[in-house]
Amino acid sequence: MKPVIESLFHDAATHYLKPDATVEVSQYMSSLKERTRLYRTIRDQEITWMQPIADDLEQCFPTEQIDRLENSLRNAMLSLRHCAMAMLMDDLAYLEVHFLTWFQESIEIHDTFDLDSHIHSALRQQLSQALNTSQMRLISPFLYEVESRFKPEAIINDDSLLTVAGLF
Amino acid sequence: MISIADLLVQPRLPGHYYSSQAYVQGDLEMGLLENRRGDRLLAIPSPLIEAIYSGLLRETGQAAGLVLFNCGRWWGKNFYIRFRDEVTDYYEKPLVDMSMADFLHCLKDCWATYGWGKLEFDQLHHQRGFILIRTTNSAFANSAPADYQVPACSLEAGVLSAFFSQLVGRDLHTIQTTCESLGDTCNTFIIGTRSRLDAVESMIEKRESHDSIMAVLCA
Repeated sequence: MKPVIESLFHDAATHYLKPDATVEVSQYMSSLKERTRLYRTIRDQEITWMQPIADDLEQCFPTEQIDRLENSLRNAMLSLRHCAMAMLMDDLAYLEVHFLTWFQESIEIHDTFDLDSHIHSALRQQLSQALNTSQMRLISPFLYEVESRFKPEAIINDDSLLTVAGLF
Repeated sequence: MISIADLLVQPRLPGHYYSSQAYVQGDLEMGLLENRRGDRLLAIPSPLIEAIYSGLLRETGQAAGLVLFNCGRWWGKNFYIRFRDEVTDYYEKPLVDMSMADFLHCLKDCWATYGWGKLEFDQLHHQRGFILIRTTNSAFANSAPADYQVPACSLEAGVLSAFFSQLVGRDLHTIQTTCESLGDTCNTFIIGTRSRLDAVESMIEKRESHDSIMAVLCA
């Protein structure tokens, strides 16, 4: 939850919120209706937005294994769901702890930088067509945070050891 | 053609199972710590680890490491069962069918969320029958007595030994060649068959370097 709201619970006995904090609380509360509406839209449109991205992905990466495409699409939906939840709470830390650290490592170990960055750029395009300016302003900080993790650095895996069963 | 609706048939999109905020849950009134499946967790304070070391050294002397290793083996068996059940349930795939990349991703996250530090896996020597694990920020290394003159993470060595034995269905042993408690940058564990690792146990007691030990093992 938004850090300044959390502080209401923890510090109420010691002091009242300072004026800038009350402004922040007020801004958050007044944006909550729009955040909730946007969250519902994302939830309801997930399949509608993602299907054309999946179709385009298969055309752009015709030689890629289906498993890898599906995995990246699943991760993109996971990303969208976490961005939506973080947007609802206006909490970047939520995104970091629950998703980004894991996602960044996943991109590196599966070497899916090309697929993931392609999907996310298509997703951003879908969102910018479907959402209005103020909705985009609400979700964009979280999308940027996800996109900032796309770095073409794969961890080199030894192909001779593909599954756990291959150990020893 | 990929159908998004088909990808969403399962009840969840598998993601960061071992996210610490989601994984560790508790009930302060009951004094309970649980994981996200409701299984009990045990939190061990540093003074207890320090007390275990000092008590064992007083009672068993040089056998302290062996006692800790055997405790670790017992702990590791249960750790493996819980890890296997959780990961299999969540990702809906048997552990042995998981890719190494996914398996290691889970193990590293699990190790960190359990508060055991950072774990790295080195499979460079696996074709020679050894795998290497490196850990940092070990609570056991941090709590070892200052005059403990051999690698101090015997409990973790026991855990890794039992964990990988259960994982591959063979009796494996683990030795530790470097330790944060001795000023090394990380704790290095070599996992392999007991017959091959027994040959270098004396080199650890003599504090020979990790590279020298690997040279003998791979000769």
